[in-house]
Amino acid sequence: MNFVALRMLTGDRAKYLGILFGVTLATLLIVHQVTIFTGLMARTWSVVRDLRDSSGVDLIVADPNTEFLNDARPLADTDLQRVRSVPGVEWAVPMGFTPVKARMPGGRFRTCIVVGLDDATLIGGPSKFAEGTIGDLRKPDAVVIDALDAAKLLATTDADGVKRVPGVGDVIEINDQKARVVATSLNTRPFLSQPIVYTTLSNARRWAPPERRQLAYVLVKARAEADMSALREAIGARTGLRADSVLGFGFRTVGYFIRNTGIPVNFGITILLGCVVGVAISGQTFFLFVLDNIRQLAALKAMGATDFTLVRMTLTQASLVGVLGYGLGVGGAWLLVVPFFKGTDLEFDLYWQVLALAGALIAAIVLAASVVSLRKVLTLEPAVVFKG
Amino acid sequence: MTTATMDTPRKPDALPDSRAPLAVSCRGVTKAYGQGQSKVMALRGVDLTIACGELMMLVGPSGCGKTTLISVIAGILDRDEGECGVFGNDFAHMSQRAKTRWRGSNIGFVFQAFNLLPTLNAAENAAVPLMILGEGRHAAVKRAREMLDRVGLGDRWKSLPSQLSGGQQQRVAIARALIHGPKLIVCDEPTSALDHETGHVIMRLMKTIAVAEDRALVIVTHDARIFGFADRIARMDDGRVERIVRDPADLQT
Repeated sequence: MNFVALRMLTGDRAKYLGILFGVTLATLLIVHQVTIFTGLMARTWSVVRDLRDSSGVDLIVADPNTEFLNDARPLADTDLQRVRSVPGVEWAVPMGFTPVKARMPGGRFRTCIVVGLDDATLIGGPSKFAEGTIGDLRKPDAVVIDALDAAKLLATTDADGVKRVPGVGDVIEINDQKARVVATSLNTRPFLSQPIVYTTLSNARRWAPPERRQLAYVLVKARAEADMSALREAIGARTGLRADSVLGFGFRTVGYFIRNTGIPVNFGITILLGCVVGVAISGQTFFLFVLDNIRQLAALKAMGATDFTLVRMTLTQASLVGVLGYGLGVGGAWLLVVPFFKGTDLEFDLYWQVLALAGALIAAIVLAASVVSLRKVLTLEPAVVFKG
Repeated sequence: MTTATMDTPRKPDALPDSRAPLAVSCRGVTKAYGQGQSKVMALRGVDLTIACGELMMLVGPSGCGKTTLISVIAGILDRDEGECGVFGNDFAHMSQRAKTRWRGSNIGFVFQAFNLLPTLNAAENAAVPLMILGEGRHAAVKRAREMLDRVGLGDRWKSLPSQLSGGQQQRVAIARALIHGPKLIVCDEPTSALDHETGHVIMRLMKTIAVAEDRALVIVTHDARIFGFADRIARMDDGRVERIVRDPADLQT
């Protein structure tokens, strides 16, 4: 009877497309909004994500009062040595994270985040480059800037109206001291609109405003045999600092933004609207479809179709529009967030978890839309077929 | 007829052919709709027997209980009191699911408004009872095409209901009612939506295909033009079988 159910549904083009549109629109809204939300939240710890992907760092040690990535509270240089002395630590390297004013070649001033990397190892830097390599940071006064930052945030327009994008070989002034761009990297987009400038920790210390403590984080690689949880606790106990896994630090940063901004509420409202739109359009149209076919369903019941058969038919119809609508909605959302904005600030990753969440929500929407109709089907009196 | 079935009124026309086994046997059947002051007695103690191979027509004014009676006979409506056996089975002693399944295997329906599924073609519509019984679509449609041949629609098996005339749609409905080999066929005003000539064609078809295979047919109708096809006619009024006749002319007396 699944064949009959599907033909009943697809044969009524207007209602079929109406239900499909509702599910597709709901999926599109949910996937698109959740993707942008998760994408924006992922950007809040983009620097850490990049170093996780490139360096093999296991733990990030910070001041216990540091609430999120850009909120780095300064550490003493001795903290680095204390962390290195904790059993289970394979190696530990320093990382600076300082906002500094920079002057671009065209004279434009921007406040940049200067990330100071360990001079010896350059651990914690970007791994993908448009031009140059991380090793170029060993040159005097060298900095690496992000290619997209260069094109958007650091670009200047000269008197003739010509846009000037800083690149390799250009000199910028950081806190009135010359720095030379030696490479352009392809960083994960950050949440805040402050350009990231990578250099060595010694350069960062020279360029940063005078401050007694200029170390922001200690990046730790654990020994292979070390228990990560025990190591985190040991670092905390011995140094008074807080050690997070890279992912844990990411979640801590995301949690800060969720708690302290209206972002999740606003996205949540849009996602809720998507669900409501989906239920309203799909549910109402599906119910009307069932009502339109009530005599045929009663005839099927009279002819021997059990309630189970009719429920299965209804759920088959709901599943078809659910699966098709989900597929179309995901496809539409993917087009909007991936290829359409490729290489721009609006490009986001489509996580499988988002697709799973959207799938669960759409299943709930379709089920909710079906329940009202199912009730009508189950309470249907087959004798209605004999009524004129 | 060896059975002591109590038809009302007791006269020879009230009894079916004594040699044929009984298809339907109802005694003292009552059915009410609503409760309290709004209670309406649709059936007030109906006694009726229908034999295999017999075409019984139920006639009478609107609201006299004809439709309620065939609904009870077909097991799609529960009676309040009395006994009603269909081929020896009493629906009152069956679960809803068992009743539905039994109905699917043993009863064919022809409706006034045809009730064909508008998005299925003629063969697929006629195949629906087989698919309900679990037969695969291809096998069911193949058998449906053979059945459509028998009702004279073999060349229109691909047509949608909207592409068929009223008479052709009713032929599809008849094919659908017969395809699974039911023992009883219940028809509600099968000719009311058809012109005189088409109505006669449909009735001849029912008489030759349905009854000829020893099925029992019960037809609710207002259409006096087809009374002549009946083996017996039961005239109902006010929830009772008032009279059963073999000759339509006797209805006037």
